[in-house]
Amino acid sequence: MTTRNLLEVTNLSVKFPLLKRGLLSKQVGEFTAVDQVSFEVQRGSVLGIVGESGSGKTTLVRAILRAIEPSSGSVLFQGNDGAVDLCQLTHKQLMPLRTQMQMIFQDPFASLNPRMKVADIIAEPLVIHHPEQHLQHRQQVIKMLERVGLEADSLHRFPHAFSGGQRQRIGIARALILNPSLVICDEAVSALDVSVQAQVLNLLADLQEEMNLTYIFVAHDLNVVHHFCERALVMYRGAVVESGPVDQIFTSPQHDYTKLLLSAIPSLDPDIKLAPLDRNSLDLG
Amino acid sequence: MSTSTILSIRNLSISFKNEISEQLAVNNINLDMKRSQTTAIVGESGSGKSVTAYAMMQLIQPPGKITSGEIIFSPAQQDSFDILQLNDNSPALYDLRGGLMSMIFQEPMTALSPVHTIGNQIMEAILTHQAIQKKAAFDLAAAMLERVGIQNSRERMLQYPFEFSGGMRQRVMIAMALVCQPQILICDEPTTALDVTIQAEILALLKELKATIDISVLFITHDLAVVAQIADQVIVMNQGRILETGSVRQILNDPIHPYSQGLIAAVPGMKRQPRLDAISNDSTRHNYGVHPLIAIKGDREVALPMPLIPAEYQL
Amino acid sequence: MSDHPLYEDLSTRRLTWLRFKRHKLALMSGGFLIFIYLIAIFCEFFAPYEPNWRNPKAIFAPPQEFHFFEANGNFQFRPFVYGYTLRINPETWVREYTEDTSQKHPIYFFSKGQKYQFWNLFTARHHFITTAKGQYLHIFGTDKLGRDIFSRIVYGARISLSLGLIGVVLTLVLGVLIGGLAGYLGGRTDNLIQRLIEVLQSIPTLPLWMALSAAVPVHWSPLGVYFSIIVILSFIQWTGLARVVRGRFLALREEDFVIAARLLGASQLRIITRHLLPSFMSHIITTATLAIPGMILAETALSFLGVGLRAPVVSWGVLLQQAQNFQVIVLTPWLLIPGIFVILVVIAFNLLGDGLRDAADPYGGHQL
Repeated sequence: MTTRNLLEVTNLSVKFPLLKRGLLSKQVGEFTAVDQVSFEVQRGSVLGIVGESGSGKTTLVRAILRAIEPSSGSVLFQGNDGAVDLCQLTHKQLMPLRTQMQMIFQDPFASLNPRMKVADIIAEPLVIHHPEQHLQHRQQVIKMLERVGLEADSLHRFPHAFSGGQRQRIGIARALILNPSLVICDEAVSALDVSVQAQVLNLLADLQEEMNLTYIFVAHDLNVVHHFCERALVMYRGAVVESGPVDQIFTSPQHDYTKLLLSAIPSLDPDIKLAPLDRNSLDLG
Repeated sequence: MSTSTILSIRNLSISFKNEISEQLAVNNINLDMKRSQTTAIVGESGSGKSVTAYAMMQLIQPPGKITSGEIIFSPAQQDSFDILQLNDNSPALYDLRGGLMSMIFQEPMTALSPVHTIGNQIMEAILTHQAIQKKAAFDLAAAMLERVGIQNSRERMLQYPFEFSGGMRQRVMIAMALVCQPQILICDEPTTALDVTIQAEILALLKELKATIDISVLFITHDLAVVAQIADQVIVMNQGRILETGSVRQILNDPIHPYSQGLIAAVPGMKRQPRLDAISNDSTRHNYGVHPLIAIKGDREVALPMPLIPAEYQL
Repeated sequence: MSDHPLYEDLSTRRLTWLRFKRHKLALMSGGFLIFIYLIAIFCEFFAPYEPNWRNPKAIFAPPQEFHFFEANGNFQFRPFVYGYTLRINPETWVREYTEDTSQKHPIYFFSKGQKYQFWNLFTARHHFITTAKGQYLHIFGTDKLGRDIFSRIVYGARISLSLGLIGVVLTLVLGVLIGGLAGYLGGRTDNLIQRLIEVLQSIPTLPLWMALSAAVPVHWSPLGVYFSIIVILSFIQWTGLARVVRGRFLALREEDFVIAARLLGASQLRIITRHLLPSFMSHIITTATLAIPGMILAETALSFLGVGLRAPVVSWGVLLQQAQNFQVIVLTPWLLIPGIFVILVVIAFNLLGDGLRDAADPYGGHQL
């Protein structure tokens, strides 16, 4: 594995068994959510993963972090102590590595425990991995809060007191407090209003510079991916149909599905009419 | 009221109670819908756009309450009347809902009853408003389904919602809404929950229907690009107030209110840029002050104090 | 969401309380239940007599009326009752009691009366309501042995109400543990536990209880019988709760904030205690509150049938056992009064549970 890459995914597949319901469930087939996906992520870069619902993009990134178990393939991660295949580790062995890779979730309402105070939510990673340093926790939490643009008196409040954008910032603070190298944004701005989305994207860009982060950015909104990412993968029905630098994907798409996707994006200019391609005339494979 | 206006909202205010306080979701708004045109209400969450639409069919339930205002509806060949004055359970209200005015919703999964067939549901809409035979209703429903792009409609009428995809269900909802030939169609974020390719198909369908049927559409959305594609008139709402109105070209190419400008600048365009021009304050509760809507050149309005409106726009 | 400064700082618990306060009926029920439980705790103080004390002058006597006016019209601040004159009807052989205005029994509050043992800890003589020595007061009449019904109801409250409470605690522990295990571990464990629950639930409850109850050794002390009844009742009840808990666990397991905790590296124990349990605690409390009346009714039913608690233990079910025949309704209807208390308590618990459930539901309002 070249040290230029932070992550190398090779032939990753995730299959779910289809069960027949009876007194004892029996497997009658399987559903392939992620189909032999391979890609690399360079350190310090932003990789976008684009697809519609059912494309497998969320399953893919959750499998990388082992929130879902992959069925086959390898995920080479360049950790602080060298390269490891995440798929080969037990959950216990993964524990120390968790500090180096984190996820920011889509739903600002569901991703924070509604019964925990903001201070506790952000401090939780510290409590789990560095319990012995509990005296410094408060300071670190306050620093992180300021970094994401929230006020220090947010500490003793509960998530329901905050707007969607603010909750996402809390989620970002929680993900970044341990200084990970890889951050996966699973549709992190999709549920936000347009103006708030802009702020959060700017925040993520700033934090990447300050903290030397590498992002995998999952989204269904192509414009956001075009704006935020350097390279991108286009997924359709579990497989990667196209990959490359974003500009190239947008100006000269190769695969029919990418062409379909691009043709469906409405323009802000009322005089540019939406003319989506007819899916039946395409070879989507 | 001129004959070119089919619906007129005057001084509408709607409040919501929670455990502690009562808040205005819609704050004294005035709005006109032009006949045979598509009026879009654009706003972010908390702007009050959906609540306004629900009020139009008297669908506001506690803890929501309409505290003031009137909604004057002028259907063709009929007298104008105030929708808010109609009594609950009155025949006039039943004629209105689904008959003169109908609505399609955001979530196609939950807007259709899972235990009734599609045909059953569309026929219910027909039979509630027209005294015809069941067979005739079936034919009408099947024809409507074909019209919205569902093939083999006579067979599909017997299927249940779970046998349809999201985009298909949205088409069914459109069929249900249009089958009684309403004069106003309210669309509450109908494409927000759909994939972008499906959204494109539904928008194309709506545009095609609008071209062939004479209908006035109220389109609620937060997506400015969708507005660009589908709307004739645009109304920008924020925190229960209307900040700007105008034609779609005026608002998108030449916005005057700082909020509208900020909204457009915040949309990621088709090019890579280091930063988006974000509206500086982190919440949609940015205070733009309370100003009445002032009419300006070009048949538009903006809620700004006179000194802040550039001279070339002032009447 | 509100800009109101207070709203933002409120914890979920406080918000739930505020929502609960809006349910007047639930509040009243809660107050009523606290009142009844207080009486049960201090039953020796509130009851004028011991439950097994007999008044030979009053067999099957009707409730005595409270008077403030003497026969000659004088108002007396202290209420009083008249003693009984007994006459046996020569034709029907039915006891007829009439008020004997020559026997005036004034009623004293917070005064000395019969001796009693407070929770078997110490002896005392003060009662909330009592009469002078040799005089008697039967607010709800007497039974076939001349025992004061009112006192027996008060003492019975302690048994019936505590049994319901302890039974539910046992049900809770079993239900949460087993249901939680099934929901959290999933897979084969879940399958096994679910099948077990189904088997248990398909057994007809009353015959099962009767069978288990009959298996309790006759020579056991009343206390032993008491606890075995609790265990028997909980034996089936936990299955219902376990199902509910399992459902909640299954749903919560997939919530984003739980997945986030897993990805942060939280241990399974931490996820359960810190993230899962607090989220459904209110739900469980509500379910438990609604389960208490079930337990009380079950004990009442068992004792009524004679297979639950037995004399000399006094519970409302045992009291109702005396009211099993038709004669009761016609001749001595006051023997049914314990049933009224059962009804009141059951209704109160149901109203309280409803109020709790509505208050704990975070999105009970309209979200547009």
